[in-house]
Amino acid sequence: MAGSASGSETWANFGLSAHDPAVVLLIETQAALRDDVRSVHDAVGMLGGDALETEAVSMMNDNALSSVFAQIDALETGVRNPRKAARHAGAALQELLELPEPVREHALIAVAGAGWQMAGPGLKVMNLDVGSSATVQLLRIEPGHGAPSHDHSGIEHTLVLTGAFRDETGLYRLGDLSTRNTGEVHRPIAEPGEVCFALAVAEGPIQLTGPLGMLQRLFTRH
Amino acid sequence: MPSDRDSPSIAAPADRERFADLMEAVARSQDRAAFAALFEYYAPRVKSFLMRQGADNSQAEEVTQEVMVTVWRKAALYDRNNASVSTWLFRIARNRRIDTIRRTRKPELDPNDPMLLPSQPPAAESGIDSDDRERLVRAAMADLPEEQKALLRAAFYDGLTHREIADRTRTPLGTVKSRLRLAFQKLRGKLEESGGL
Repeated sequence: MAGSASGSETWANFGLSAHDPAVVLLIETQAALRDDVRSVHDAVGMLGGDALETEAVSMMNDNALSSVFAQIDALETGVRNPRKAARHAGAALQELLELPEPVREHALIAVAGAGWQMAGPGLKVMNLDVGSSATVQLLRIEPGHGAPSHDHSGIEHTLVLTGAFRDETGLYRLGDLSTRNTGEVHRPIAEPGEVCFALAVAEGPIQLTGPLGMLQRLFTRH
Repeated sequence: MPSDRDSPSIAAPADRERFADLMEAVARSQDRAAFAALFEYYAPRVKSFLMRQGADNSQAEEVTQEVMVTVWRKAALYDRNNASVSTWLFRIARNRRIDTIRRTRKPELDPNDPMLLPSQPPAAESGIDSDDRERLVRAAMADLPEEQKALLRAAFYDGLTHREIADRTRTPLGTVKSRLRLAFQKLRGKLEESGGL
């Protein structure tokens, strides 16, 4: 049965902290896409909010508040660059602007850096630097095209942001989370009709199949 | 885990309303008096949270100030229908803590440029009145056994990995994982029961 996994629960398979930026990104993006996940996320968040209210108090410096106002003043007189933003605007950017937060912010930063890489016909991949040891990528898959076969050293979660894809385990739509365990091979193919954007979070580096991938697998076969 | 007898208690519902009013005043009219009131309540608590996470006094001071600057900058994104100020602010503090140990990245595009900010408000409401929603979710949480709440708190508030929880409570790793899974199932069940899903 596909698609019913919730990020908060499946992250349990990772050895990562729930504060890890990749985990936060996955859970919060899924919560933005699905009401049922959002309710659980809100409940856990409420626990966090209450816990913050019951924290002991540690005195701030005497000048802390005025220092904060000074930083705020500095920001507000800072130079913004709307022309640069306009220059980057266009259909490609528009697609990213329509993604949900928090992944949207990371995508906008990444697209202005290393940007998209071609990873096959109808497939583009963009690495997102969220500060995690996990590999975090935004995938853009044209209808009818697919992600290359991965042979992964760890567990990988893929969250559908727009459109849908189908793989050996079933159909995944908006907000659905596909989990692939160590050693499994999945070939997701985007469904017809709409470009499929997906957020992929995986432990360790991705090893593609193909000449180099085969070599790597020969030496690390278990 | 030991509790501090002198630590503050959970805010009363009236206080939560007041904090939400203050946040909206900051968002609407850059109200500095309102911001100062929020600062007075939250800054010392955020600082404590950071120090328990391992920051020393000056790091905690610096990051807490950055968190409060972010609260000011993102005030317009706060939606009282979605979460309490405490929950919203805690998430900022959690994210900020992570940011400080990363390499600084300098985006060419400023994600906070008004031209790029989302034009719609945050995630659409499911149709339940916001007060009811908060009450339903809170009721579901209240029914959860304290042991499960403590586990969720350890994972999501303290940010402990399963391994760390296992070590601290001297339980096997597998037990921690299955207890967490159970806590989520229970929580989902309670939410369905109370109509919060």
